[in-house]
Amino acid sequence: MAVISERPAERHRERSDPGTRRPPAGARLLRSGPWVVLALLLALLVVGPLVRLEWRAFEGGAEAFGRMFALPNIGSIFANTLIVAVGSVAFAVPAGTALALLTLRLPRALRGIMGLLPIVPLMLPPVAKVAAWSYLVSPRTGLVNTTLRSLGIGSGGTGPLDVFTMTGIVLVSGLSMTSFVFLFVHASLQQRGAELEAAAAASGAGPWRVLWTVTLPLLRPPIVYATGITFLLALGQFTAPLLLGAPKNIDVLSTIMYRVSAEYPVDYSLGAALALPLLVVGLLVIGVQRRVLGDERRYAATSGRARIVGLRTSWWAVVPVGVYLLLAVVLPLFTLIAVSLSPYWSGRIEPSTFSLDGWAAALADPATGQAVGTTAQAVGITVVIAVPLGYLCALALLTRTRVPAAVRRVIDFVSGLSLALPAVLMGFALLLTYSTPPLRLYGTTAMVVVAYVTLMIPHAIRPQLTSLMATGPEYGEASRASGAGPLATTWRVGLPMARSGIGVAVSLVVILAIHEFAVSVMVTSPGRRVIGSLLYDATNFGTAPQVAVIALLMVAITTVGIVAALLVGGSRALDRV
Amino acid sequence: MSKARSARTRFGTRGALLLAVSLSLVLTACGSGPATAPATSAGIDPNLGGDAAWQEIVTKANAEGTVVLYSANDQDAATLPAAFNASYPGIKLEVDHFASGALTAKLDAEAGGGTGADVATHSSRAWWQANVARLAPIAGPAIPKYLSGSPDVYGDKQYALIAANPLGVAVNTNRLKELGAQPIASYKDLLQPALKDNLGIVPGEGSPAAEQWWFYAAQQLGGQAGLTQLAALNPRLYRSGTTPLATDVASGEIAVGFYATRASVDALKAKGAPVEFLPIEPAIGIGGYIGVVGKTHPNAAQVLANWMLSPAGQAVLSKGGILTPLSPDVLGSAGSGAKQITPDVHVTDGILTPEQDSFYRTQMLPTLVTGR
Repeated sequence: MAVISERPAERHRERSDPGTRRPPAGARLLRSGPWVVLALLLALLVVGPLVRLEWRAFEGGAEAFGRMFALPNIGSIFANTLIVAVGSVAFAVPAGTALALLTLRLPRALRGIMGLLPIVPLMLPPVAKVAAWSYLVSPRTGLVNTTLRSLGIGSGGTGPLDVFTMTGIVLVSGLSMTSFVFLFVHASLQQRGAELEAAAAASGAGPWRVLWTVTLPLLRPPIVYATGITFLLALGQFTAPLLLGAPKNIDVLSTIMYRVSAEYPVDYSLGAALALPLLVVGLLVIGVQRRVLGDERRYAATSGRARIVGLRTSWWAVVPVGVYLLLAVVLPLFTLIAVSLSPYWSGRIEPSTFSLDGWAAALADPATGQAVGTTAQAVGITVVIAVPLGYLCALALLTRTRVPAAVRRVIDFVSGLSLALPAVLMGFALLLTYSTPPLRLYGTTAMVVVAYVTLMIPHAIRPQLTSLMATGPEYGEASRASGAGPLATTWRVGLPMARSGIGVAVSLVVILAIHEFAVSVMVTSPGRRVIGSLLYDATNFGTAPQVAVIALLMVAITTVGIVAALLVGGSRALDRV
Repeated sequence: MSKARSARTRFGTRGALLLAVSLSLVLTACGSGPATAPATSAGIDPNLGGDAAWQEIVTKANAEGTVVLYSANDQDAATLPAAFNASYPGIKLEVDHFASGALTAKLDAEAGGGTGADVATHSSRAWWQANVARLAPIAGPAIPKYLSGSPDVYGDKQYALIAANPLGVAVNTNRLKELGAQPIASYKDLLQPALKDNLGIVPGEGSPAAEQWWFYAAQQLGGQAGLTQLAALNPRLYRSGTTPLATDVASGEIAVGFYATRASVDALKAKGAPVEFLPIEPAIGIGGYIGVVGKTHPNAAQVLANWMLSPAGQAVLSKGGILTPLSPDVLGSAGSGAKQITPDVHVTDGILTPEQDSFYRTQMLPTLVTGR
């Protein structure tokens, strides 16, 4: 979230420039027409399916709500949803913030590399992480449990840990979301620097006093933003409850919605009723964020020449960062690699049985090639559509562009909406919209692309907005003053200046679209599987080595995608994610 | 599908089949079968009895070159493509595997879209009934030749029972020994206290056929008392289905799991896992129904549906322990070891009776799933 607020002087100049005359109404309409079309397009993409879905909930006298409340354990389902959300936030926000703060204390030699490592877990697909944790912490055969029992920790044939519990779900979800929180807080710290902390320390304040009186108050915007985002992500948390909650009947709203979508006949009215609370909470959180942080500051950190100086560094800071990486990356990855080489999951890692048979079988399976091909095609087209669309939206969100305020508000709201809503909800709405008349896209790559574009819009906007805001308007004005038209100015000035933001947007869209799972399993048809839905099918019908191989393939494809994005955005793109 | 109905069906079918086989042998000997007879893996010509119109369909099917099957049967993807290709080298078979609920949801989403499945097999006869208008009648010679008059052919040959998959128990032989548990030979053996905390079950919510399986299984377990006893053993729930259950039995995470499919257990056994699939009596088979659901490859779809219903396809299907509606006699040597659906087998049809529905909602779910 490395975004800089537009300088007040720019806004002042825009308002007070005596040379600026208010153009006639016709010209204003002509000028704002494309922006209105853009806002309508976004609304059609995001709000259209949601309205169509929710309309179903109120059909027939809203009897779907009666059926929702008649579901067995519906009270527990709401409670579980809230527990997972609050628990994950309670874990991820302190952990992510602490990690970000600790990276400032890393020895200078390590800060460059280790300072970015906490975002590496984002490269692991959620299904892969959850599957790995089930191999690690299954009560009887989980590798961590068998190791602990062999060390005398725990007794009997099971435990002491059990990942198939509410605690397990919360910890696995929280561990994943820690990286998101880190991302926001770390970016803010990098922008702001540590001069104020250094000044407080020089004035005699102890480390804790500096933390409570300087650092944390200054970090309020990114922490509030990260708390809101992680709360919403956790509220719609799907993978961990689906795969870890089933053994003990721990359901949340998203898993119930998914079950509704996979039963005959699909009860869209019930799904819509289940989705409504998530929709309302999503809207509330957007509203609260807007109120607490103000408009542009939701995207903004503090400008200025950031310097990390004067802080005491310590090799001890390496320990928590290392522990996080061990838990979030090394252990899951190691487990997946070991399982992928095993003939079947035996509860033990036995190198003597290792072979590449699982890899050969997965790679020889035509479904794998088809899924990789469809993924590459869908993600590629998504990037081509979503990133330019995001660029236009970012332009519209800049206060310096002459976009009608109402249009700007619509674009701002809609782009935030798809970020705020659980993916399962969006998946359900997209399935209804594009598998029933008048627009039948189900079974085509176009459906996957439409779904991905809808989901990825906010991720394509944010980094490009960052770049545009940071560069300021002077270069564009100079270009126009020299006689270049808007297109030439965009091509010769705007795009090159936003190159880093474009690279980050491409990276984010590539990572998130490849990892996308909840929507993919709903909207992809068997002939148009993407790698995420292939992985889900493997968890249902495949062997453990198959699951591991496909998960590792996803990691490999993500890495290729990121490298490609780095080529677009330059080598510094990643640290500006 | 009731026992009484099953009994009537099987004896009637058997008689008709014997007659059909005799007639077909005579006709073949006289050289009156106009359809060509490609070599098949099963050694049985699936086109037997086909007329000139059928031969035209086969020719067009070869020109289409591809056919897509959505199947809820977990061994079809591994076994059918090669065997079908042996009968029809010019047609490539693609098999996509889903649970019945997800499969029917996808078929609904595809309806009218002109993409996706050409043929489907799944366990929900309720879906087949509701969608009979969109199904193309199965045109091949297999139904008139082998299933003429069978009550398992529905509508105007729009869909038919193709097989029954008898579910059983997956056992980790090492873990069972460690626990000192008795061998599993009956449903009631699943209730032994030695299995406490070492048991897994597939509750089958959302799949009417699976819910029927539990209806019949509960009768064998001792009704509500049996379910309560089972709940006291603290079984782990496997809502994603039989493959994750088999995986956990293989790793020893649980010692015993049910219901299980033979294919998922045998696949792990073949890789060296200490697992066994135990069929359990009386058998409760998940009925699979086949129909032509798509229009993308209409002729290849007909050829596939006919092949699967013919002895050539049935011989392949029955190798996984799946029960065939045909007499094993007509399957020839390729179908050695095949077993027919007999009157003592409960075959689910995915249409819950009020009694079955009430049992599942008021007894099974509260006792073993939601009430825990």
